[in-house]
Amino acid sequence: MIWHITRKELLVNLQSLRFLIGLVVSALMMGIVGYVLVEDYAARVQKYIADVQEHREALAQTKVYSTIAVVVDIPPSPLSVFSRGSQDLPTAVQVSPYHVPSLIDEAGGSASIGLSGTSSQPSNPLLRMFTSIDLGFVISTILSLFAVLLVFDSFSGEREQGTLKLLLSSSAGRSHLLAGKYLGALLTLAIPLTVGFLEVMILWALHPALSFDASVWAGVGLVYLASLLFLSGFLALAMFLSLYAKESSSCLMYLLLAWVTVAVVIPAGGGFVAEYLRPLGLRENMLSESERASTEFMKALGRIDYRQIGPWNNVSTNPFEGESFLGITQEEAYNRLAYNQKVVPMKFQFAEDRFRVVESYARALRSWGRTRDNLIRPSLCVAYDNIVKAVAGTDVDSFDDVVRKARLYRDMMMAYLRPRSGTPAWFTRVFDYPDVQPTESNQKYWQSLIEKQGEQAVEKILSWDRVSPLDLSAMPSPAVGMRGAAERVEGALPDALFLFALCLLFLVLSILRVRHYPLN
Amino acid sequence: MLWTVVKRELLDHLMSLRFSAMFVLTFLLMITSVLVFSAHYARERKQYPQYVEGLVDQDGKVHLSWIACQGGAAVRAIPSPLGFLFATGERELPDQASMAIHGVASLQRGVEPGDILNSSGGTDWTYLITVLLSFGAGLLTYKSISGERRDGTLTLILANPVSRATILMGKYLAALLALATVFVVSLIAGVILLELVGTVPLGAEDWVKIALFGLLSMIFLSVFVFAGLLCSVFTRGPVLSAVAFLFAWMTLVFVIPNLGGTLAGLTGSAPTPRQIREARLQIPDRYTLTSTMSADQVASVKLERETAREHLLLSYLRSLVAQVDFGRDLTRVSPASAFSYAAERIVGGGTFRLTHFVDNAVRYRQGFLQAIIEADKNDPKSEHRFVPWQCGGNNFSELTVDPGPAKMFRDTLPSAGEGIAAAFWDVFLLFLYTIIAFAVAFWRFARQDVAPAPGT
Repeated sequence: MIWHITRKELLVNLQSLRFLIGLVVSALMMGIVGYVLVEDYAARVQKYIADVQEHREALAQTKVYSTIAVVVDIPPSPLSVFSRGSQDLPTAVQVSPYHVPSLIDEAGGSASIGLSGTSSQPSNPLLRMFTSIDLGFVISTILSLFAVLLVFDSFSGEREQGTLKLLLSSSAGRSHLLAGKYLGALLTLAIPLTVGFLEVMILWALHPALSFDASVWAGVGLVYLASLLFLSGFLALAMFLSLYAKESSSCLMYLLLAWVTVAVVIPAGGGFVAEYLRPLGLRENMLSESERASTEFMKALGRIDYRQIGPWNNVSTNPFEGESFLGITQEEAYNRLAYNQKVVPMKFQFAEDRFRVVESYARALRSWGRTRDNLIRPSLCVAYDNIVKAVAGTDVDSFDDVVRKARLYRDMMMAYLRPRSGTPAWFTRVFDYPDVQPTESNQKYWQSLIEKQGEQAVEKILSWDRVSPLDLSAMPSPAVGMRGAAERVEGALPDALFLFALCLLFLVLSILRVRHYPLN
Repeated sequence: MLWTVVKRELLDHLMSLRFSAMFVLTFLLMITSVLVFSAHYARERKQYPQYVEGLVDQDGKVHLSWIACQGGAAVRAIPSPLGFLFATGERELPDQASMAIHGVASLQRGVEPGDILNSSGGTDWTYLITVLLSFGAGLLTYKSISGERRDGTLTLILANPVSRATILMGKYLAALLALATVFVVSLIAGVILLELVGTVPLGAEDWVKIALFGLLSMIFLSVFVFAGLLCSVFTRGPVLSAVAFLFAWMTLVFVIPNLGGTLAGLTGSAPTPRQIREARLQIPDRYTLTSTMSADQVASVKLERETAREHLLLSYLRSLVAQVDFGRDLTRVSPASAFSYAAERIVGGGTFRLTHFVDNAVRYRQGFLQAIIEADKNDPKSEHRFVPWQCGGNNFSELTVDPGPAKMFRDTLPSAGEGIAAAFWDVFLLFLYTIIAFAVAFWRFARQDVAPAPGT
């Protein structure tokens, strides 16, 4: 019996004008947004490849160990078509000996406009002021409105036309009627949703530069299921509320008010409440603690007894006999080496200390963020958004995961670098080009430099260019990828369960209510 | 006669449940928005630096020669006391200009590392009006004609000596007045609250801007009141009017404005960071140094290079803003977009504010440099030669002086006058949309069959 009603409802819906208009609007919107985001993704993949290349070359040019900086580029997520996530999230994490990457440090500065043209910059940072729009947004606003449009008059309309009595005089019970109408609307709604997903897949398939593996398609499947779950939840809510209205037109308007509440008011209001709950002193604490740590560090530097380290003329045998160093004399090299052996371990320690301060602040902010998420989760749209972000790997948690992996990598890198921090190669190189000659291309520069700085200085400067880079082939290279599919699904699970529970709740409430629905 | 209609309609509205629901929602959200903003503003204001970090030392003095080789100074945009009216960009756009005294080097977002975790930005009044009150306009008008027609009361009303235009205007004015009640009450309550909390000092200019913002909002709402009437006039029954309004509202408030960023990104007319880097690297070739140059000539070429870098940055910023504006131009077909851009300008926020701030920063830097050069002239030991990135030598004075008011950076917000001038076309568009909607609704209503249509 339910299937009978479902079939009839579906057919009636499919023939209605509102279905046609809704389908066209959503298909257009999803097509445009899908096209732009697929192009955007392809461009970001290109940029990612170029960046990786550039950073690898830059690393290969490193000449002393202390300036090593490994840039871990984060590959863009193909599912970002469905959820772009926060645009503040950077596309790379820097790992270097004197700096431990943390969530807070990496996330600054993406709004900068400058002339240095670093690759981590977005092409136009001002575009961030537009709301980032993705297919998840289209589904959670446009298709949820469509859901409202499909069910607002499912009972009041029949009552106004007098057909409700007829329907109930057949053998179908009220709850059967409800279930049939609900399923009919859900199937109708699945059509524009499927069309939208098909559009994206066609765009993917047609794009010459893109190809995807099975895990991406599985991710698409998951996003599809999540969208279906969200829409069925929204339908259930709309169905439930529509059972309280007397008149179809006012029912639609009240449903829209409810829609505004779910899509706009709850997210905004929850954000407000969370801003109030925000632990205000935390940042000041963090700053003062990090200030204190650096003061401590400076003090410790001041306590070093330099008489124990140098000077050069106290040494009976010259450890660098017969070697010349780039940019510095033998004496300077010796003094700096002795100095480094004291100070570099302290710098490592300071980096760790500072990281701990910043990290505890980051944790506090994260837990505050989770409070806010919990406050606004009752809005179906927010729960849905969370799911899609988690599956697409564009949420803060995924980024945090990358930063954590970068830290693990830094430990490996440090294991390699630590023994080398006590060698001259940490800050200088043996000078093996005594015969520096000006070339044709640098002649002018060479002349002017000699006039100003004298021959010796010029020799030093030019020879840095000619020194061969360090051999870093034995240094571990970063293997930082996106979170695995299982982890991402795990991240999405709580919200999915919550959405499911809400959906069930509204359905049960609707069934309870429909038993008492007045016929006149 | 008009006022009789207005009075009756208005009373109807004020007593209806939808009016109360809308009132409560709008009122609560506008009030919380103000509360949150005032706390946020107080924090921002406390952190706002008094001196320009890096150029002026603690006791407000400047070491003349040393300043030439200093970079990394930064000026901050002053937090806007009207951020609750229009907040887009307050957390996204750069609010800090890094500079040396011979050139602004880059713009960036100041330090608020927590922002990244706080993806839900502030909800300002502009947004609330665009979404909630425009919807309210439809709520009050969607069945004003089609409903009366269905119930048969339209025929009765027209039996009185009252013209159709009067009825339409009456319904329009009543809905607008009802919306104005919601808006003005919330606005006054919000502003009183702001004064009571007392963390946000409002000057005379700010009051003018708030008043202008109120006016602008009413113009915007009048477009949507007419849109609701249009839907009501063109459809057979209230259900269809509601559906029609829903589609129109969804398209105008959600679909079109949100396509702005997408469309702007598509055109991609702005230079990429890499191109800008190339252009920067070419600057030394355009202003070459030769070994035959005198020290004064070298100094002036070096200064020209710095100026050229600053110009490059400014023109880069202009092209970025132009790209944003192009996307916006396309979305202006929607009154919601036009309203939000007009609000941005009148309140002084967004990119309008950003360019204003950068101009302020450049002017400050130039004035400061001038003051330094003047101060140097009083030192007989100096050779009066300002060379960027070079301290020491006898080029420039070694004195430490107080350069006077030029050392202080005073950021100002764009004035209300500038705002109105910049918002002119958007306001004009809003008026145009109102007139078009009114004309079409009247044209249709004047020749409409007022008897209840069969089957509604």
